Amino acid sequence: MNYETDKVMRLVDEMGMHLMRRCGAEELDISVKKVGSAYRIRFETSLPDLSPGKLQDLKEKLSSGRRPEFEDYYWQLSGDSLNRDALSLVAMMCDAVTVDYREGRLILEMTRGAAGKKTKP
Amino acid sequence: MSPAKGTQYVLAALFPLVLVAASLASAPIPALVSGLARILTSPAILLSDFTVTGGIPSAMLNAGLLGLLSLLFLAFLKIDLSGPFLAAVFTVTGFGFFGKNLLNVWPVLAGVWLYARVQGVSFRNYALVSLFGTTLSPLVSVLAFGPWLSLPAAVPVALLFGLAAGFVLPPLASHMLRFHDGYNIYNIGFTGGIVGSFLVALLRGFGFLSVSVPAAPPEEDTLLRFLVFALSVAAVLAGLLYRRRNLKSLLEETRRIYASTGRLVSDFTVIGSLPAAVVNMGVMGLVASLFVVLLGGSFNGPVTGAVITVAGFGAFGKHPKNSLPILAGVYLAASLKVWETQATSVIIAGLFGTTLAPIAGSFGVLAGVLAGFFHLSIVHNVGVLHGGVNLYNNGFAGGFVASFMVPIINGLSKKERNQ
Repeated sequence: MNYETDKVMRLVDEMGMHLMRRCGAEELDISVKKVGSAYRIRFETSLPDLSPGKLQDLKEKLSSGRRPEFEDYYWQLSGDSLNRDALSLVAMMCDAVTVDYREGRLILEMTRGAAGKKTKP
Repeated sequence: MSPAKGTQYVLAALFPLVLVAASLASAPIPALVSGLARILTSPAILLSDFTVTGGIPSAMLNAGLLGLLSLLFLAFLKIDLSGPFLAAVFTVTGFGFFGKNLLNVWPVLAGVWLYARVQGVSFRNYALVSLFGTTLSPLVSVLAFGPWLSLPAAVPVALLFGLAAGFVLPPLASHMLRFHDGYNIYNIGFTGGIVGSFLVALLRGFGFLSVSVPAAPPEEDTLLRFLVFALSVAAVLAGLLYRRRNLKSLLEETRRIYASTGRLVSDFTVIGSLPAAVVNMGVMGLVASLFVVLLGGSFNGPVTGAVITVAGFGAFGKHPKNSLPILAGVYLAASLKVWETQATSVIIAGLFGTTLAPIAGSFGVLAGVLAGFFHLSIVHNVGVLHGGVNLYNNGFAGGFVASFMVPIINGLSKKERNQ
């Protein structure tokens, strides 16, 4: 069993919790789409008061790239960001993450290919 | 910018190479070989001291070669030397002084490889679990060279159990993270304790006999003391030299490391940078060494191994801010309880008790001191379950302490928020 669906939903949980708990989002539009063997996860929220520093921090923490040598071991830690900034876990489980902030709206798109298969955004 | 991958490997290889060179310079080859042979054929359970079993030079040779083999293993799998892998290499090297040897690590590694094959997943995905999974290497040695079975039967039984232990580690290690939720850095230690307890219980039902191994300090520990201090200072200097043209960046990267709670997965080469992580490794080595000196301990095999391991985790979760409270808590406990502060078991409980650094990092100094205080008692009471076959006994104990404390602290925090 490769737990692919579990991992995708953990990513949704982790990122959603981060946006609401740590970024102060009060509404979230989330979509999850399977495209071929890959998953595309999209978050959109209104964050008019997001500071440039926090935005830059978000981009940096989500930029490390997929790290399969850790994913199969540590993925079970994801899904609960109480007392933890777990963006590193999100980043290591995604092939690509794009962060776009325009006119007070934050759009986050995450792409995750099947295990062992990298996918471009 | 961090050094290129090749440079990372060369730098990481320096300490194991120094150990090998020091061993060759300290004893003639025949003495090294006979000492190594005694190490390879010993039962190797906790707290076997290879500096006593085979002599300091042979123990250094064993440790140095294990470190180099770990690096070769990772290089073969084309893995970047990030924080967790640096910690793994230094852990394997450190435990080359007590418990892991050039013979007993292979069955467990093979077991993890077999699991990867059965799953149809690249072995690369379990490289970290493989290296840390050698915590159960003594299971192989005590079965092969202990008093239970004669050699012709003992060797296949040892291989089988080593393979089995390695095979179940990957799924269990991932699952056990949920038990302590990442507040116990030595997760494989906790998992190894569970697996070791299970297998030893099974074996005891068939009359399995273990051995008792008294740890004893060597007559002269100056060389080991010098080596760990030198390693630590060299690491600090290496990081500073690499960043000498931009010390302001290094300071900012170090600030980010120190601000980290240390909870899994805190890779300091990503949170800060590789040079900043290496500087922190050196600092943690110095902190650990000073702890030993302050408590009046000697740099025997287990203590030296513990200092090297703590230095390695300076790249993965531990820094002075989250580790000092744990050390203080263990020292306080030892001062009040039945154990002597300079005893090897107390000193390594302090050093390895820093597996609970995320508790201090997340909840503050008082929580960290309390975690250390509890840890000393717990670690002295859980080893009997696995009979000493799990080398990371402190990781095993740490899992219980973390899983006990964290829900209580979180529960009290929610109560404060609701009021």
